[in-house]
Amino acid sequence: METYNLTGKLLKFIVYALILLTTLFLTLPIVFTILGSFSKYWGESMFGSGVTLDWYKYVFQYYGHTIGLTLLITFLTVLINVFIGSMAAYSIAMSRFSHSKWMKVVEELLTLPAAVPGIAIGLALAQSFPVMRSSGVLILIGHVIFTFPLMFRAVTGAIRSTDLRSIDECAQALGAGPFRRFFTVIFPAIRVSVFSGAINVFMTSLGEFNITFFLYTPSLMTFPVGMYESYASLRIEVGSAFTTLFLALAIPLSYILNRLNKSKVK
Amino acid sequence: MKDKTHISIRHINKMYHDGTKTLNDINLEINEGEILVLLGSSGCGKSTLLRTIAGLEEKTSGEIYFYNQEITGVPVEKRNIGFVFQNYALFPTMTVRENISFGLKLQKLSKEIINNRVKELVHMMNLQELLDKKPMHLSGGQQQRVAIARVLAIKPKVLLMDEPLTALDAKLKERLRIELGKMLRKLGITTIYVTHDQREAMAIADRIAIVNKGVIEQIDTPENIYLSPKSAYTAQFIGKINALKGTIKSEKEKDSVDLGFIKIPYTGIETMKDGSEINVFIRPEDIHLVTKGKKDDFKVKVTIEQLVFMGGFYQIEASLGNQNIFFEVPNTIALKEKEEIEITFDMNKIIMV
Amino acid sequence: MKGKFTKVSFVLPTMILFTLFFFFPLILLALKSFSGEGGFTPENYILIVTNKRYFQAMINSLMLSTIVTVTSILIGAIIAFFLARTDFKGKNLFITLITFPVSLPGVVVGFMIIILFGTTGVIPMFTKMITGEALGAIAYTITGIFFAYLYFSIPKTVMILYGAVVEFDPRLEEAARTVGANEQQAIFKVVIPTLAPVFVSAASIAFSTSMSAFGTAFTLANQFEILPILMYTEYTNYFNIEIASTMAIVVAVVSLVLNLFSRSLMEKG
Repeated sequence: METYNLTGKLLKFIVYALILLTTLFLTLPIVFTILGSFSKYWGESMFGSGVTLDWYKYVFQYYGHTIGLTLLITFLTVLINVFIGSMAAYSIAMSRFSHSKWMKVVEELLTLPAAVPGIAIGLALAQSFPVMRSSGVLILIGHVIFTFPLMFRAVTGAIRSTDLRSIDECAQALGAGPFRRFFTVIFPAIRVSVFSGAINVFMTSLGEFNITFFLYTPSLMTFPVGMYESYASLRIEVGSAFTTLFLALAIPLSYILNRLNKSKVK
Repeated sequence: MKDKTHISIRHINKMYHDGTKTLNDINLEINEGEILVLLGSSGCGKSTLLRTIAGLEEKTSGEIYFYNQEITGVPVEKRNIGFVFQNYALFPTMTVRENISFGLKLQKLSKEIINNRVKELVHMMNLQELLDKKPMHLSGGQQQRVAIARVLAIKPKVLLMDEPLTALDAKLKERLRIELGKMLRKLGITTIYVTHDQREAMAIADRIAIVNKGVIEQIDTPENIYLSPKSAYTAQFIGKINALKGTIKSEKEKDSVDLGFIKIPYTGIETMKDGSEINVFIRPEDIHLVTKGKKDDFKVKVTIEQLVFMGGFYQIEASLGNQNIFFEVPNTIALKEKEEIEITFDMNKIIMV
Repeated sequence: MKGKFTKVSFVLPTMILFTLFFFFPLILLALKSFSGEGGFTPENYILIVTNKRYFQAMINSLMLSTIVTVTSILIGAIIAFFLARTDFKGKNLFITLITFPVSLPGVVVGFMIIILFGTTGVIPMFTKMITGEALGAIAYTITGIFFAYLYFSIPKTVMILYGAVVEFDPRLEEAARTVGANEQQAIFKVVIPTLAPVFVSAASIAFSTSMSAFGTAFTLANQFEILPILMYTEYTNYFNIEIASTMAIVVAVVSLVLNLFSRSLMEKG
C-alpha cells in the first residue's frame, strides 16, 4: 500500500505539473503579445523603456488597407454562406430522402473542403482561374468554399436534432403555407445555429491564410497576410501590435461562439 | 429462511456539502440467502444506499458489516459483490463470451475453469446463440441476461441489483419478474434489489424495505406491508387504497374517529389527542355492497359518481360527504350513475395511521 | 412539384459554385500533377521519391507530423482525463483558455513561438534575468517548429478527447470494478479500449492537420523543409507547376484519406 501511495502521489504531481506547463505554454504568448504591443522597446525589459502606441500607428499607417479588405471579404463570405449554406442545408436535411445513400454522398461532397488542405485549394484556384486573381473575387470564392462546411453542418445539425421535418409536416397538415411555416416554424428553430455558424465562418475567414497566400496580390493584402509580412520583416513590437488587433476581434468572437454553443447544448 | 445475519447496516448517513441528506440513519439487518427489496419512488435514496453498500459511493457516517467484518475502506473490487446496473453496462467492445469471462480472467483462473464456468452460465441464462455477439446487437432482455451472467460468473457472496427490469417494456417486465424471482430463490445468494415498481417488489421479495426521502419507513414481508402498513406513505405506495381523513374524538372508554359522514371506533395503535387528524385507509377489495340478509355492523349510503365497465367487474367511484372512494363490484350487478347505494367496510381491514 | 423545384433550386447555387471552383480546380490540379514532357505521366510522383530534396521534405513532413501527433495525443489525453474527472473553480474558463488556440491562424501560432522562444523571446529574456545567460532561443530551429505544431495540435486533441471521455458511461468502469478490477485494470481493460476509436480519430485529425500546415512553418523560416513549404517554393520561385501540383495532391490525398477515415470512425460510435 505504501509504495502505491508514493508512486500515486508522484504520478499526480507529474500530471499537475504537465497541465500547468501546458496551460502556461498556450496562454503566456498571448498575454505577452498584447503587453509587448505597447512596449517602446521589447528587447531589454519590456516596459523598461516606456509605453507607446507608436507600433499601432505604424500598423494602421502601412497596413490599414488590409483591415478594410479583410472585413469586406469576411462579411461577404458570411453573407453568401448564410444564404447558400442554409438553403442547401434546408433542401438536403428537410428532404424526405435525407438519409438515403445519395444524400449522404452529396453531404460528404459538400463538406469536403474541410478535409482538403488550404494550400491545395489555393494552388488549384490560382492555377485554374488566373484571370480572376487581380479582382480579388477569387480570394472571396476561396473563402466561401472553405468555410461553407461550417455553416452547412451547423444548419443540418439543427434541422436534424430538432427533427424539424416532422414539425414542418405537422404544421403543413394543420394548414400552414410555406411562407408562414418558414417564419414561424423553420426560422426560429435554426436561427441560433445560423448565427453561431455565421460567427464560425467569420472567425475562420478572418484568419484564413493558406488559401489567401496563393491568391493575393500586393494591392490585395488581407490581414493575416499583412501579419505574416510583419513577422517576417519587421520588429517584434509591430508584430505584437498587429496580432493584438487580430486578437481584439478573435477573442470576443470566440467567447460569443462559446456561449452560443453552451446554450445550445442545454 | 435462514436466520443468520449476513449484512448489517448501522446508522448510515449520507450528506452532501450543501447539507442535503440523501440517507438518514439507515439501519438494516439482512439474513443469509434473503432477497431484500428496497422499494421507493425516484430520488428516495434507494439506489444511493445500494451503491454505498457496493462501495461505489461514500457514506458520511455509519458502518456496514458483511458477516462480522466492517467493510468501510475495502475497495469495490475486493468486496466479492455482484452489481447489476439498470442500463446493464455491458462492455461494448467485448463479445458476450468476453463480457462474462471478464471477471474470471482477472482472477487468473485456468482457461479450462473459465470455459466451464462460462458454459454453466450460458446454459443457465439461455445465451447459447449470442456468445459471439457484441452488446449493440442484443435486445434489452438479452443484455440483461448477459449482465446477470457476467455477475454470477465470479460467484459473488452478495447480489446487488439496481432496477434491473426498469429499462424493459411492460410485457417483458411482467414475464421476467416471475422468472427472476424464481432464479434468485434457486440461487440462494443474499440479494438486495432496488426498484420503484411495487408489483415487482411483491413478486420478488422475501422482505421489503420501504424507502422514503432517505429514511426506511417499514421493513416487513410483502403480506404484512400490504395488510398492516405502519405509515400513510407505505399504505399509499403499495397497491390501491382509499385515503380518508378523520378527526379523533376522545370518549370515555374508546376513542372514535369522526369521518364527517359517520363515526367509527378508533383501531389504531398510537394514543391520539382529541381533535387531532388521522388517516383512515381502506383497500377497494374491503368495500362491498350491502347484501340483503346479512347483518353488517357498518353501513353507509354513497352516490355513484362514475361507473366504468372493466370486463370482469365494474370500477366505481362514489362520493360520501366531501370525500371520494373507489371500489369494485361484480359485473352481474346492474347499477347506474348517480344511483345511491349502500356499502359496508370490512372493519377488520381498516388501517388507521 | 413546387416543393421539388424549391428543393433543387436551393442547392443549385452551391452546386454550381462547388463544381466550378472546387471540384474542377482540384481535378485540374490532379491532371497537372500527372503531366510532363510526354503528356500523361506519373514521372512527377516518381521524382518526389527519387529526388533527394523532395524526398527529404516528405520524410520531414511525415516525421514531424508523427512526433507531433504522438506527443499531442499523450498530453491531450492526460489533460482530457483530468478535466473530465476533476471539478474545480474556473474549470470552464480553463477549458476556454486551452481550446482558444484552435481558432488562431497558423502564422499567428508561429508568432506565438517567436514571442516565447525568439532571440528576444520571453524565455531567453527570463533565463537571462535569472542566470545571466539567454537560453532557449529556439524559435527558428526544428524544436521551435515542433513546439509551434504542438501549440495548435494540443488544443485540438484535448477538445476531441475531452468530449469523448465526458460522454463515457461511468457505469462501464463501475461494472468492471464490481467484477474484480482495480482502478488501473478498469481504465486499461475497459475505458481505453472503449475509447480507442476516438483516440484513432483524434490522431488522424492531428496528423492530417500537421501534414497540411503551411503558415506556421513558413513564419518560422528554416532549413528544415517540409512538403507544403517546398511546394510553395517550387511554385513561386521556379514556376514548377507540375511538381508543385504533385506535392499539393500528395498532401491533399493524405489529408482527405485521414479525414474521411476519422469521420467513419466517429459515425460508427
